[in-house]
Amino acid sequence: MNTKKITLLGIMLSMMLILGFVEKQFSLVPGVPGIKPGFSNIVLMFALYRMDTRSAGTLLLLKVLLSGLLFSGVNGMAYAFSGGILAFGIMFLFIRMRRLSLPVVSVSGAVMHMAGQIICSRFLMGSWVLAFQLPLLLVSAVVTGVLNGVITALVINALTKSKLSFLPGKAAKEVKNK
Amino acid sequence: MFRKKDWLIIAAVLLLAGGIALWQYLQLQNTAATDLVRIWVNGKVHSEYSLGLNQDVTVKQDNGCENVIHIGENGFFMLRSNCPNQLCIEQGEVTKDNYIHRHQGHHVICLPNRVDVELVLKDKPSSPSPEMMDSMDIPDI
Repeated sequence: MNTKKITLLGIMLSMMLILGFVEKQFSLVPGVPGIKPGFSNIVLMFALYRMDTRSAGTLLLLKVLLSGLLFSGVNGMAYAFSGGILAFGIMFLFIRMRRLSLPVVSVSGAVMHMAGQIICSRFLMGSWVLAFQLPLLLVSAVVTGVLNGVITALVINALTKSKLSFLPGKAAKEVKNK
Repeated sequence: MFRKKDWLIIAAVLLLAGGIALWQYLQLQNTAATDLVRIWVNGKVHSEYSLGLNQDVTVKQDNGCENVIHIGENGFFMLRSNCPNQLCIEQGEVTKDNYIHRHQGHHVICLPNRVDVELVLKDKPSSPSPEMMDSMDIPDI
């Protein structure tokens, strides 16, 4: 891990935290916990797509930990962690398979994030009450997932074209070889 | 950006959402509300109250969490809560008539404080009750 990479991960982590914080300021559907755009997933998917798994995993764990300490508390951290781990798992699988496009990867991540949080609520609330919201959560997972996936694809394309040398992975190597 | 396979997966998720919504609707259609309000804290039954007394119930926990639930004539709602997101307030009132159409069904849920308030339901009798049979006009043969 060199200085460049540490700096890049720091910038990405702060982007995730800010995006997460902005989302906490309003609710898209009044009274329904769990419906939010999830923009920080754009950063995470970029990391999964263009960087190594360890960096992406570090970003996820630090985001959950710091966001919990700064904004949402231990309870929120538990929900974010269980959702995040499942979402990370499925997105890791689908991105490494390279068979599905990013919007679908993002949608499946959103669906698994929701599933993880409902499972978490089973233990914290003692019943499956949150499952009442399943239909609404699934629809919102599709909408926000497609949106995030499209944005991620655009970001990756734009950054690949610009051939910025600070990017690890393909682009950096291409620049170096020339 | 999208391939045919992608649309199929998205359609499958939406179909699943519709299916679950329909199933839940049919399940709730088969129920009737009772007068009992049950309050769950940390996954355990905390207390039970009856509708119709117009009272404010305060649920205080050792960790500082505090919720005030107004239990009225026909339903209940979260009056106050010291949770950070206040989503339980936004969830509005559960009444005997509106619970089929709410996002949380017959519940008001406060996730940060781990409080769940439930309007207890019972199965709707599937066959007509004896009183209904009596009032029906069945011609003698």
